[in-house]
This record gives sequence, C-alpha cells and structure tokens, in this order.
Amino acid sequence: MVKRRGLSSLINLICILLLFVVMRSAAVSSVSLNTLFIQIGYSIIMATSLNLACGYLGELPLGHAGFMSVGAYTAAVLTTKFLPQSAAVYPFALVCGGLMAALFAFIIGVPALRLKGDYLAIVTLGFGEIIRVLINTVFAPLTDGGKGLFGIPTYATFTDTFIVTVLCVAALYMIVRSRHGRATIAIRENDIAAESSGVHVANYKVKMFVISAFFAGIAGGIYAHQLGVLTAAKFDFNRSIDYLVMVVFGGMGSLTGSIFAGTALTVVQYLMASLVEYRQLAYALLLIIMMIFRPKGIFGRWEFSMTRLLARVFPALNVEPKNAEALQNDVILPDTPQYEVPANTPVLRTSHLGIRFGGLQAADNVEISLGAGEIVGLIGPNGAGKTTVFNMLTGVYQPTDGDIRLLGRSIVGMKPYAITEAGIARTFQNIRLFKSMTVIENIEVAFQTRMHYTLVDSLLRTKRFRRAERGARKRALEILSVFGMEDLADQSADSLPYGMQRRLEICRALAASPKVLLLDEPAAGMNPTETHELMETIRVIRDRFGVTILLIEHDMKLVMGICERIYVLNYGSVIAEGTPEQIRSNPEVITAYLGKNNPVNDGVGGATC
Amino acid sequence: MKPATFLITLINGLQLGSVYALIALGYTMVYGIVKLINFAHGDILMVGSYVVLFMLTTVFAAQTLLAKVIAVAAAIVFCVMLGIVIDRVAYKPLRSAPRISALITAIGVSLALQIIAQLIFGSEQIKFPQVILNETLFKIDKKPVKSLPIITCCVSVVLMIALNLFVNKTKPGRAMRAVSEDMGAARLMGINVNNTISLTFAIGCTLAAVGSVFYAQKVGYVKPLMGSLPGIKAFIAAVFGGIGSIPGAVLGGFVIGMLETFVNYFASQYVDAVVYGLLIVVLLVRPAGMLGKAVREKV
Repeated sequence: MVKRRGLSSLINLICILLLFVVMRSAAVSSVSLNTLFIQIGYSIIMATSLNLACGYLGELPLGHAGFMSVGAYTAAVLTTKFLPQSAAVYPFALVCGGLMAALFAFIIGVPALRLKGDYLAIVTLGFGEIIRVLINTVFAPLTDGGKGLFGIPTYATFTDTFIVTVLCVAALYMIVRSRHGRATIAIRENDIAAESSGVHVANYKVKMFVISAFFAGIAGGIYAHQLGVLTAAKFDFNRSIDYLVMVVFGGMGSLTGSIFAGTALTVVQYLMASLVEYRQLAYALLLIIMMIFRPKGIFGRWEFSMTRLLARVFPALNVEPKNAEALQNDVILPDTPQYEVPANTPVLRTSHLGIRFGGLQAADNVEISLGAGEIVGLIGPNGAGKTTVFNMLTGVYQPTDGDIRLLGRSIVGMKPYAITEAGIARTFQNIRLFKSMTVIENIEVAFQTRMHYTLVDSLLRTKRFRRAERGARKRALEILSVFGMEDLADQSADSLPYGMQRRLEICRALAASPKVLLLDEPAAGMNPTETHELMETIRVIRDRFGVTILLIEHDMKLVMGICERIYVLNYGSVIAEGTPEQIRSNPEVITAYLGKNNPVNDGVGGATC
Repeated sequence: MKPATFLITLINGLQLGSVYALIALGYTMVYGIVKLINFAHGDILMVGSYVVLFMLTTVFAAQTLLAKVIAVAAAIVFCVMLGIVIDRVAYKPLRSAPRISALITAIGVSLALQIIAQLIFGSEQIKFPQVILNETLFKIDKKPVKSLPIITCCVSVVLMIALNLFVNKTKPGRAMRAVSEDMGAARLMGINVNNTISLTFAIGCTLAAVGSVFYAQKVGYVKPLMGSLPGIKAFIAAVFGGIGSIPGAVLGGFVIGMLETFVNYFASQYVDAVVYGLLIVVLLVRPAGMLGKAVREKV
C-alpha cells in the first residue's frame, strides 16, 4: 500500500484532471452530452449525500428531493430576483440553497432523530409531500407558486458542475473517514454501545442528517440553474426514490457505489426518458429484489482507491515514507484526563439508589461505594438487578430515587455519553461491538470524547487531523497490546472468536480513559484457562490504567479470586457486603443462591449459574 | 362559525376520521406485530377502490344493489389476498434483516402498486361510481345532512368494536397479542406465527378495503396516487394515538380527521401542513403517543 500522502493526493488529482479533460471535450462537442453530464453531476451529489444518512447513519430519509427543492428554490429565487445578473453570484447562491436545506433538515431532524425507530422515514416522507404544497402556497410570493418560477439564469456549465461535484464528494469522503464518520458508523452498528463509548448519538444523527440535506440543497441549486425553470411538482416522491435506488443499488455505505449507480442510472433515465412508468416499475422491483437477495448492493461498503489500484499494477509505488519513524512520534494522543479524587471521598458512591419500572421495584436503596483502585464484585442470582444497577450508573436508565456521585459530583440525569466523558466506561453482558468495523476502529470510536479536531479539520485534512489520527492509532495499538491483540487490529470485529470479542469490549471501554470501569460478566462464555488469563489481565488493567473496577460475574472462581470486596444483590437490594471470605460464609447469601432449608452448606463457591 | 355549519363540519370530520381510523388500524396492527411501517398500506386503499370501480364499470352492466355488494366483497377479498401475498413474498424473507432493509422493501412495494395501477388504468383520475346511498336525511338551517357520512361513521364504529372484541376475546386475537409481545416466545408456545402475521395483514387489508369505498366515494374519484396522502395521515394518526395501540389508532384517526376538516374550513391550503405539524409536536412532546406506552430496550 502506498503510504505517501503527497503521492496519493497527486495521483488522485491527475486522475480527476484527466477525467475532466476527457469529459469536457465530449461535453463541448455535444449539447445533449453536456446536459447529461450536468445531470450526472447533481445526481451523484444527491446519491452520495443520501448515502451519508442512509448507508452510514442507518436512517431512511424519504424526502431527499424535498431538500433538493428547498435548495433549488432558494438559489433560484436569489439569482432570479435579488442578486445581480452575473455568474459570479452562482456559487454564493448554491451555498445559500444548501444552507436553507440544512436549516429545514435541522427543524425536522431534531424531533424525529431524538427517537429510536423509523420516525425519520415517515417525517421526511411527510416533509417531501408538504414542502411542495408550501412552495405553491405559503412561499408563493417568492416562488411564483403553481405556475412555476421562470427565467432562472442558466449558470450551470459542465466545468462548474464538475468542480462542485468533485468538491462535494471529496467533502463527504473526508467526513466519513474521520472520527466523525467513525462515530456515525458506530451509531448505525449499535447505538447503545456508541452512546456508551462517548458518542453523543442524538447530536450526531442530526449533524449528519443536516450535512446530507446541505449537499442535496447544493444539488438542487445546480438543477435549477441548468433547467432555467422550476415547478414544485418536479420534486415529488418518485424523485426521492430515484436517489434512494441509486444508494441501494450502488451499496449502502459505499460512496464509490453511489457514484457508479448515480452515473449509470442517470444514463438509463436519459435513454429511457419516454418510458418513465416502466423505469419506475423497474426501480420499485429493484428495491424489493435487492433487499431480499443482495441487500448490500453492488459494492457493499467497498471503496475504490486509485492509489491502491496503481500500487497493485506498479509495485514500485509501494514505498514507505522516508520519515516514517518521525511521523510515529509526531502525534497528538487522545487525552488522558487527570481525575482528582477528593480526600476521604470514594471514587464512586451511590446513596438510596432505586428504580421502578411501573409496578416493579427493580432496584431499591442500593448503596455501593468504590475506593480508588479497588476491584469490587457485584453478584447475585439471575434477575437480582445487577445489570440494572450498571445501567443506572452509566445513564442508560434514569434512577427514580437516590443519587450517584462520581468523584464527589452527582451524575444523575446525565446522558450516557456525558457519563463516559466524566469517567465511567462499561462493557455489556450481551456483546455490543461495532461489528462491521475493524478491531482498531472499534477502539478509536471510544476516543470520541478524548479527541478534539473539528469537522473542518477533517474536511481540510489539517496537520492537527493527521497528528490526532496517528495518535489515535498509536494509543489504540497500545491498548490492544494489553491483551496481545495488536495483530488483529485490522480484522473485522465480528470475525473474532467470542472470547476475543469480550476482550475487545474491555479494550474499547479502556479507550475512553475511565476512572471507573464496569465489567458486565467479562468471563461469560470463556473456558477455565481463558478465565484464568482474564483474572490476571483485570489486575494488570487496574494497575496500569489506574482504574477502579466493578464487575458483575457469575463465575465464583473469578469473583472470589480477584475481588477485594463483594456486594451481593437480591431482589434489587444489597443483602450483603464484605470480603470474599465474609460473603462465602454469609447465611443470607447462601439462602439467596440456594434457597432455604438447603442441606448444602459449603458456601456459594459451587454456584456458577 | 354558525351552529349549523359547525354541526355539518363536525359530521364531515367524523366521516374523514372514521376513514383515517380504519386505515390507521392496519398500520398500527402490522407495526405492532412485525415492527414494520407498511408503506404499502395506503396503496391497498387505492387498490380497493380500483377493484370496486372495475367491478361496477367493467364486470357488471348495471349498478344494482347486488352488484355493489359483490363489488365491495371482491375488493375486500382482493385486498386481503394482496396483503398476504405482499407479506409472504416481500416482508417475510426480511424478518431478521436490519429494519432499514424491510422499510426499503415496503417503499418498493408501495411504489410498485402505484405504478402497476398507473399502467393498467392510466394516471388520470376516474370518476368513482356511487356505491353507498348518499341522500339528504334532513336539513339543519337549510344545510343538508347527507347519509354517506352517517353510514361511514356507523359502519366504521361497528367494525372497530368487532375488531376490539376479536383481538381481546378470541383465541386468534390472543395469538396476535402474544406474537406482538414476543414473537419467539409465542412460537415456543405453539402459536403459528406466520399464520398469525398473515391474519393481521388480512384484517388490516379488510379495514383498508372498506375504508377505500368510503374514501373514494367521499372524494368522488380514483387515481393511482390517491392512497399515499391518506396513508401518511393515517400513519400520523397511528403515531398520535400510540403506534401499536388499537384504541390509539381509532383516537388518532378521529382527531386527525376532525382537525383536518376544521382547518379546511378556515384555511384550506394549510391542512397538510397543520396535520404534519401535529406529528412534529407529538414526536416532541409525547413520542409514545397518547395511548401508547414507552418501551425500554433491554441492555
């Protein structure tokens, strides 16, 4: 693989220029080709931007044409009625169109994306229908309503459309390949784990949806200035579907796929201009058949890389950068916050903590206190409320009673991502990895709250961006090395065996640089040897990362072996607390596990269920 | 607003509301059981009215009472079969796929129905024959009260009560509730999950077919895209009442129908925007809907 950044950019630039020269000479020679190329341009912008929301974020916006219409009308009204008649104002109008579309997306995205489920689909579907009505009624003084907006200056040329398309696609690519893109994909893969890794899920969903609409607005501007006339009816549901088909056909999560399908289907559309109904029927059937037989589309999540291709053809290009060593040290590492433990205060303390689900008191008056650097066990029979306690500590559930104090500060009411930032990280009982991401990306997602480069940094690939990304990789490899998993860094997470997946979850939790680490059944599904190794590793983690560990576990060998103190939970209440020795001989604990009048009285050491 | 006008508008609101409630029930029941927004449900409404139209104009020469009854029955049977086939062919293979895949398929099905109707019947609207008696019953302040709204409301209410009894008092109804609660557990208890899902689609489509007659008669025409807007509004009604909740869908249907009719009286161009605005407000204030309950994801 070519590691030289400059070389890679140069190759890309040359290829784009070549493409431009070839296409331009064709466009100059034929008016219809010129028209087709501009159509391809805005179709690609529409498809790639929709892919951001659909393939990467995992939502289903059904009103992408609605955002296109907002951008088209905004830009066209500006150039036709308000701005001087000069092509120089065209870029400004395009950006205004994009911003207006983004504003609309923000207004409808905030209520719809806050919720789990498919609300965005229906809200955007409604938006796409209603925006046309609004354009023809409420906004009629500006848009000239149902009779259509005429006399729009036809500023869109092949050259500027080409440039705008390249810029838009490049921008999307830069966003996707950054910590922001990683966070977005993590939400698609597992929103609960993403939130617990420090990703502000609701925020990111809105952000990506708004960005997606922004680009649709730009595409709308191009459309308006190519056609010279706008009617709201052009932006109907079928147009939204045309772009959705491009995304699905090319591959949800592959910009290459969207570019390919955007081009191919626009050409098809062009050739089949007189057979609209049959084309739409074919699209409808394509959607159904693709979803059933090949849901990942043509390209899946694969991306084309010219440099990679050339490197395969000309192995001579495979050179390590000269300053590889220097680059390794020129990094911005993710933050490791300095937690200040106030004197005489436990690191984490709950008081009167309780939660009620309807009529069920799932946890009641739970008092847990963790000292700095302790390893504490939380045990109890199935259904005792152990995981519920974890969920309250991490903000997944809001307790109905009591208080949780982390380093003396109350964290009740904080969102999971904020609690992660404040210093509590966790693993999950039923593994929640970002399955389609690589091992190292799983860990890098959890640097979310500890990395600070902005969206602009990732767009411009600034030095700060590059140093921070190198730093993230370096730190992630360090964390993986705790478990000896460095060699697996670039494997996909779901290809790992079960035990490795559990370890990866611990790595990911550590990546958030927590003060308190909550492990929910870390040894579940491990064999005795693996469990034994895990015990050692947990100690190493405590010493090396300076964390306090609270763990839920049914494997009593592990619990008794490494925990310095143990809390026993039954029916949502703490029934005992003490050293492993004390717990082992506590009659109440034995009753909780084995029931009353049980002749077996050799402690809970045998209970592993 | 004069009292007489108010009363007439109220009746019209109840009429539209019953239609929305009938469609919303189909959405909410299917959502409750397979957790899928069945985008094609609005188009079932369209198919139903085309079947009635086809029967009354092409199959039967005269529009006798018998012909009308057979036409409506044919619409119900056709819609039920269509609904079951759609589920078996398009949705069933995707039960365990990511939700977005099933949603995209549903969109595809909706689109396919619209375009097929367009290819068969053309995209222009066609006048819908009179199926249900629409005579003036009496007059209030010289304004006629027609029989269509009254019949619509009565039939819908009877159907809703019947549905409620079916779901809560019969064995198949209990199976439906069990499947919607936990598909896996229901299967383990010996419930034929696939048949239960088919039954749900069948009931939803029956209600949509009946609704289609009332709706087409009210607007007076049929066209291939006629299902999408009432479909969206009925879905909004289902969300308003609490998606998955049967009484919620009925409540939502009537609220949206009334709201729309009254807004229409004062400012007709804002109708769609207001209904849509209501959806946004509901999602902001009470996302679980009026009668729905918030579900917690197990972590």
